[in-house]
Amino acid sequence: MLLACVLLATTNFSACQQMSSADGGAQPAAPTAAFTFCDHQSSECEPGTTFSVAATRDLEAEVSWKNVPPGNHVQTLEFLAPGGNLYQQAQTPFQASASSTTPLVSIQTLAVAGTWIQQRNIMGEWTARVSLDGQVIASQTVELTP
Amino acid sequence: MDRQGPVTGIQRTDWRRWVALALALLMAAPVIARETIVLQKSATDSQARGADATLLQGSPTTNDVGNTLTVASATGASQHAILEFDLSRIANVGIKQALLTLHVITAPTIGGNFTYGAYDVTNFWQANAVTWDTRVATTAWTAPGGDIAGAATATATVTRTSTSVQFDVTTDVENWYNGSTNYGTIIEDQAANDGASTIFGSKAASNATSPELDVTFVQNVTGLSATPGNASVTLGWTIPALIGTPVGAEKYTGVLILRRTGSPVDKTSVPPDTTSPALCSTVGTGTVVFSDTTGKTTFTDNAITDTCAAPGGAPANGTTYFYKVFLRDSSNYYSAQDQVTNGSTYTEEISATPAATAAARQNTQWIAATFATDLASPALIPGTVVGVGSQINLLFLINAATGLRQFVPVSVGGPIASRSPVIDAASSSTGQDIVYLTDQDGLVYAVNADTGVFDWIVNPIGIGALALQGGPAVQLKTIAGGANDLVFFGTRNAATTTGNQIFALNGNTGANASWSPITGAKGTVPKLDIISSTPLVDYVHNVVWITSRSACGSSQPSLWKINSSTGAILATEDLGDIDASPTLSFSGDAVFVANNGDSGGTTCKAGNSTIYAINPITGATLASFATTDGSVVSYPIVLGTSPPYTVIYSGASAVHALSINTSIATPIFAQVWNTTIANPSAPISSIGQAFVYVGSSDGTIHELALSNGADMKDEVANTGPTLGTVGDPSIDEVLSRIYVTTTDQRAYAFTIPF
Repeated sequence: MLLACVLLATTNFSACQQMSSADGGAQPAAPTAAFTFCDHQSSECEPGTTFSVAATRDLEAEVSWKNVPPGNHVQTLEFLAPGGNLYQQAQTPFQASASSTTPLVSIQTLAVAGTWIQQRNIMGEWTARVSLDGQVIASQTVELTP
Repeated sequence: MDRQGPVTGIQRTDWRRWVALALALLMAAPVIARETIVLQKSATDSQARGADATLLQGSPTTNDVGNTLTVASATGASQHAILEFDLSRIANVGIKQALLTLHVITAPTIGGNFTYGAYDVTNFWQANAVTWDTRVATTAWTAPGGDIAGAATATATVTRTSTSVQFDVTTDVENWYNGSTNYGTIIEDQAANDGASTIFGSKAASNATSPELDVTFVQNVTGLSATPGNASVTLGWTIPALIGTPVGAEKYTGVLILRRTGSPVDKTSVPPDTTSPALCSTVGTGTVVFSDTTGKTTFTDNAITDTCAAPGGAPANGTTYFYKVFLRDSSNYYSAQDQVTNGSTYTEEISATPAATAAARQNTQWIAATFATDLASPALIPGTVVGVGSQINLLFLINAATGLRQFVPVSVGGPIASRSPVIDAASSSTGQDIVYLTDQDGLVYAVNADTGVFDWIVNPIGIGALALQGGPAVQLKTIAGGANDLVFFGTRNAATTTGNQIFALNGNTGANASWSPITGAKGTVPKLDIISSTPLVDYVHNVVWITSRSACGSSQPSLWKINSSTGAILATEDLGDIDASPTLSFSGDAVFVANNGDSGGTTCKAGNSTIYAINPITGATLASFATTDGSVVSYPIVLGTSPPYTVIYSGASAVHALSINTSIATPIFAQVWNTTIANPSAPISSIGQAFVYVGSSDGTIHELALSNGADMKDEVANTGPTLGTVGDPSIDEVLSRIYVTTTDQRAYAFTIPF
């Protein structure tokens, strides 16, 4: 269900610059991640927090990273079904550049249409949880409704 | 157990008694310890699943598999060694240590100390295709030179006098046994462009210089069983035979058993190595109900043996108890891993429900970890092996009788979201037991079901936004004729409602059949929306039936009849969106299919299915039935060898039975019974069975009377705190068992009838 197109893209969203604490001696800020969800098929993928299982083909989870140290990293994104059982997990390796001033954005897609989510009515409060190199950084709930 | 004591007093003149007693003692005694094994290609270990290659920055599209592995650091000409071991000899163990050794063929020719790092590889790759730029066929690495973890798992120093290099990769190997995918290890120089180059022996080299993995482990118990009684549960197990070399004087001394009510003990509830949790103490979500160091192989949990306070204590009738059994050695190393950071720890589990009467008692035959949700019907070679995929990129092959892994799970490129059929050697044109699977990485695999070795891997649709949701269907040469088995599947490219594809691959090679693929809206092919189902191979008419969505309307096809030899589209029907798979009657006189019952308008929403009986010759509708219970789950089943048939399907809140007589001119569906079940799975039964079985979101499997739908008895998979929705069942008529997977990341086996 996770689309094979796990994208790791950089954008020119200058409001989310990383590695901003370059003033001498200051500890680098810890990595942070923020989620945005949208219905992949809807126009412009309008963000939301509640989605109808009957009407949604794919749920897109966008993870925006800040303050990722330069080097190789692995993002692990888990989708936990209501109740907390692991539904699906995907690992995405990526590289963060020291010189980059743009945010890192990972887009991962949870297939809904025609899947067990729809067929078995696995609805309620889902949790997306993202880790960086094995350390949980952020989690966010999203509601799947009939 | 004291192995010396019982020998005293035996009459030395009777040598047969000596031999017999010695053998008996050897069989009964706890003689095994924490063990170490060397995994390296040898005369007795082919390392069949092992693989390695060198990634060449200077020739970034060259696949370099040979007698050596090279690690080099040079501007524009760096080289990385990528390698993977076959761990199949230790499929059911807890890892304690893993040391990777590379043997130096040619040391660096320049002086200095060079630090090499061993990195966990984070993406699937294929040895005979991998290059600096790509990992599988034309699929690029995210980062050229191989996708790796952020930090090295271990480092080692190489000099011009080095003869071998060793890395402690314990963490990675432990994770591979805890549900992480095993894509092997990359060795690379930590310094950029230092000019050092080291050549190591590869798997293809002479055995002595092949890569070596020294693994220390504790095995799991085998033959774990649970027998419920009246307010009691009796567990039995076997201490396994030695695989490797015992560590020092350690020996296996017994087991420690955790118990939990209603749900399995959490995966991370593990006794720390070198400690001995007290009886009745809590370890995570489990209570220690048995702790033995005398080699016992049975334990009866009842009011006499279990005096712990709640949640321990004597088992109550009607309550389901889950037991997690850890083999331990004399230093209190357990058959689990205590460095669990993410995911689960694999060890043996079992459950039972005591009751006052024998009829009310129940128990699992085995429980196996799958590490992520799977709700597909387990595939099987009856009586032999059960195949289960997982949405954590793993394929499990499980011994149907014991529940033990046949080998360590096979790591693939993406989540497996469908049934992966297993074909026995006598039926397969490959001549071997074989599994075919599709994954969300867009890849299709043929895997030897006896060894886990990939026979072939293909990327027929090209990597990208395409995904494979439905499973493959296999047309057997032994029945259909032709040159080889054919593997059919369809794509779920949600970015298009018109251009999806239907594939047929050569089961022996993975090559496209002459007519494959069929692409929607191309040439004379009608528009083809996403396919989420598994095709139906119709041997009676030598065709393949495929269902698809139809852009939430009825103006493009959703049922496709394809000539399996030529690829000709023989018929299409516009039945509205379909996600369920089609089913053929036993005599081949009708195909049954259920649409999603979409309501149109500005937003397409699934509604109540309509079930169709289709004439398999013409594709025309023979009869239809408008259901009122949401969309049909997975597929309807058709029972009976000749008309009238019983068609059973699951909706959102009930299981339903219809009858239809397809032998008359104008057949009609008639309702027979409806039985309320919470979110039922697809049903299953078989010819001659008196029952229908369905899983449920209530954590149980329901046994319904075929005649009237009465809910006769339920078996508990997981009804407790981690409640598991039960997936589509499979029936094994050889062992009289039913297998299910659940959202609680496990597979279960029960005896039928309940």
